[in-house]
Amino acid sequence: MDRAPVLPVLDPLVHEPARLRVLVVLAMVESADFMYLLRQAGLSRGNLSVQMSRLEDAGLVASTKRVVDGRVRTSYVLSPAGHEALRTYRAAMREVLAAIGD
Amino acid sequence: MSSPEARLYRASWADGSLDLVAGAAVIVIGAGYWTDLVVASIVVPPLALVAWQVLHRRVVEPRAGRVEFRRERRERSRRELGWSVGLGVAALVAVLAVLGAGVAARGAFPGDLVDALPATLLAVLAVVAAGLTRSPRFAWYGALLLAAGAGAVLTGTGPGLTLVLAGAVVAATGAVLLARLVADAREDEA
Repeated sequence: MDRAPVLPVLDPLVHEPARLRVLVVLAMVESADFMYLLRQAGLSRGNLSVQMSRLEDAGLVASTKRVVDGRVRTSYVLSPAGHEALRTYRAAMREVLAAIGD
Repeated sequence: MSSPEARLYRASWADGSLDLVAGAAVIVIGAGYWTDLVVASIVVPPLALVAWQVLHRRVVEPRAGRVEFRRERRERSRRELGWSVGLGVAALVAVLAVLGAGVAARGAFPGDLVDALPATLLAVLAVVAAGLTRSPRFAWYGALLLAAGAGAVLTGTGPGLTLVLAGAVVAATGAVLLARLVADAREDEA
């Protein structure tokens, strides 16, 4: 008996709702800073910080820091690996949704 | 229904800073007409632009964050700005043509209609802003300014008073939106 899963496996790093929200926002723009993502994701600072570290460690986003009016601002962009991860996720999700039917 | 990216773009103009500064600028321009300091209508717009940039950087960005939209969006905005300026100039020419027709017909400049000119020009700018920011409220400001122009002609009070009143509405709307942003940011901090 074939034990391979019938449905595609969704990448848990991308599938987690908070991270998915951040990734999708970053896919729509050139770059966004921490405060912007905070408002769009609706997370606490601590939670967003943890999620961004995970995404950065996985190479899906890249960050740059700059000082503006004496404050450090961290800006994020979706990396090429991040774009690819989202494309893969979209294809997998389509299959999953198609399996549900109407 | 607009795309999520378009909604993000529109939301980036919803902080009220542009409304507040533009409204304040209209008030000062109106006060200028009221007090015969017509030069205000030339001096105020560039100062307002600088004031908006400072307000945005100091008040909005630390609370709402900073986003840079994709190149396609920026290029589309630039193209639309070109079209909008063209339309604005065409509207101005049309208004001047109507006034010119009045001069030809009456043999004198229709002074009462001139009172509507400053508000009409500002209304054109508001409609341009509505298109560029994808924010319908700027179109409402345009309608309000047109009404201010009509009010100036109908009441015979000159362009100043109705401009001040219209500017006050725009500035108050901006102040409410900005206050909401500041309050939301304070909630996020808590």
